[in-house]
Amino acid sequence: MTVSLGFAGWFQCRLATDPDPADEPRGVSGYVHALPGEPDLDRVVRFQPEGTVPRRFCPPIGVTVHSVRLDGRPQADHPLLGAAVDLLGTPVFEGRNGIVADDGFEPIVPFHLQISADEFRLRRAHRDREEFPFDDLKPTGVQPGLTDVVDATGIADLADVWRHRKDQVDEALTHTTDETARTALAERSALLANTRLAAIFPFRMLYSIALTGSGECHDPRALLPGPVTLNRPWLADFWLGGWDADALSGFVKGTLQVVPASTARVAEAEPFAPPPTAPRAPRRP
Amino acid sequence: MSIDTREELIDALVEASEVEHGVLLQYLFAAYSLKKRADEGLGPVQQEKVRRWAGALLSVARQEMAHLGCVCNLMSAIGGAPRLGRPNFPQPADRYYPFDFRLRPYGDEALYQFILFELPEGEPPPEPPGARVGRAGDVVPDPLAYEFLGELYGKIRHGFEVIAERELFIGPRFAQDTDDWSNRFSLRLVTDRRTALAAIDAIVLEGEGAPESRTPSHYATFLALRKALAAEPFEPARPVAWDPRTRSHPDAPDAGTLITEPRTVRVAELANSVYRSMLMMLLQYYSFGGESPAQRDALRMGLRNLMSGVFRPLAEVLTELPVAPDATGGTAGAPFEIYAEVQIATQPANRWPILLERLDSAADAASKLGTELPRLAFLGESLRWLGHNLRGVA
Repeated sequence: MTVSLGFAGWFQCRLATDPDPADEPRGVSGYVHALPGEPDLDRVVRFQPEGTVPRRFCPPIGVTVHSVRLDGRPQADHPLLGAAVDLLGTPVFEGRNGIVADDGFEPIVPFHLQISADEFRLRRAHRDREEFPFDDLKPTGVQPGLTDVVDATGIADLADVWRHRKDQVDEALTHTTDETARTALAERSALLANTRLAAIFPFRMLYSIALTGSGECHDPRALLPGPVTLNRPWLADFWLGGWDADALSGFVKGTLQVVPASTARVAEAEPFAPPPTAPRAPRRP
Repeated sequence: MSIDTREELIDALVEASEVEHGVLLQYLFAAYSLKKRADEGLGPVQQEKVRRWAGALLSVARQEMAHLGCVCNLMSAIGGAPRLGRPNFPQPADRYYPFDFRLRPYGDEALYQFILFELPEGEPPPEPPGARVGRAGDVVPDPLAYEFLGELYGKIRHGFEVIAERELFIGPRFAQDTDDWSNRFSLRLVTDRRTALAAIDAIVLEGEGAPESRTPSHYATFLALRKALAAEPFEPARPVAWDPRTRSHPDAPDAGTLITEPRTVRVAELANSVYRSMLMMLLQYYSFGGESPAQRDALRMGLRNLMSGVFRPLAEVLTELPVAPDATGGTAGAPFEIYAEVQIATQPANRWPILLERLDSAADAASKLGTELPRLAFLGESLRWLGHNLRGVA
């Protein structure tokens, strides 16, 4: 039996963009800046609100489980629906100005996925020690996928959303007196007027990562059909896309596939069973 | 003096290479000297202003890099070799060039000098800063006899106009750089008089703007930055010393600011080493000794990686490190020192091991310094990974 947990939601990543250095704290030459009053940029990919820097009129951050399937069969009203999906260990987009990867092909390092709800906790690292060049953490490709992004986000045209958001920002500007807040809003208004930056919204970075590192399944209420094995890789297949350069957020959608121990034992008893699926090598379009 | 032989034209392009190179370093030095954080005494609004000023200056510097690449193409088109050497800082007016070359932190004196560099013919010189006497009056003609960048290019343009086209363009097309460095940075192929003149006109237009409108141009940018600075009561730059250096140089005997704080010296030497590696890579890239397309790609990418991902952070770190052990004399900055003539091996196969040795050595130095300066540990890692990438094509 396989357990497949579908997840989706908005994440945030506040990172400087080329030609700024990867560790640039405020953003100077690229289009991403820490606004007045905001903390420094840190490259951290955040799936949950903790540590994010929300900007007004932007979608809330939060990635959750939206489907549970057992052997492909959807489980309506499963208690894990709505569980929080998180990345542990302060993961960053590790591009380093092209040293590790070009724009759009950045690996997320480290990659340590967790799904949690109340006492339930399911988590596993890609590896316990990540090493350059992080090839099996890189996207397997970057593709335009407007339909998928529209379906997932409900946004058909980000430029249109930006026009509306710019009106909201400009309106807020008219009755904001604090100079710091005014400067930040004015900068956002200028960025939102540049709808060319909305053009990357439909692009998706496709990831397929086999998790083989240490992990844990703490399931005191037996929400899953039996304990989960760490003897076989878990597979995280997902895309990141729908990049909103004003919110500094994007959308993630994918699945985590795990194998309960009972199934794994059967598989391991079969001497001619195929080896675990190897992670796909990165390829570029 | 007018240019009407290939030799004179090559000499003038050598001069243009050195000047573009020296000018862009001065722009970078000033941009790196700007404050960033609130704990440096900047209010949020000032922080935003300073960020915009740094962005504008770095944008001009990037265009100057493209100008330098364009001059390399012009040189290549007529059979010359790329020139990436230049005298060390500081240089007073008249010794090498008609204006002084100094590494100054961002401020009115720096912006005044930058406006002079880019001054269009016929425009009045800017008001000198404070009580300082203007440099324009100090300019003494050298054999090329020019006062401003546009004038130098005017003379080079004349050379391309009068020397017989069929005899002049003997360089192979494949030796030129027309690769896309980024979406805002690609260079022109020079194959004949028309393309040479268009390349020169584009350089002058970016520097000076058109006579009917100086905006956008480097000149207009610097005028606007100077005006904006004059309207502000705060100090936007860190207390960066002028012309920091780690040692004295025969080609720059004038007093710069000698860095004496031991750790700062080590970081400055590391910055100089990375800078030299970049120059070697540029020289290899423009010399074109039969490198494969993959090797040229790797060189171009490696240069981008080093410029943005390693050198700039190093230069910024230096602007917060003291020049002297007792913390007097302000902070340092990237000295851009050239300890000896920058050369590359004549045999292409030997170029890679030498470059990789240099990067390994820089990575070790950065990692060691990283035990005390965390940002350098990050850079040490980046340097090591870059070396790994280049080994893959060497």
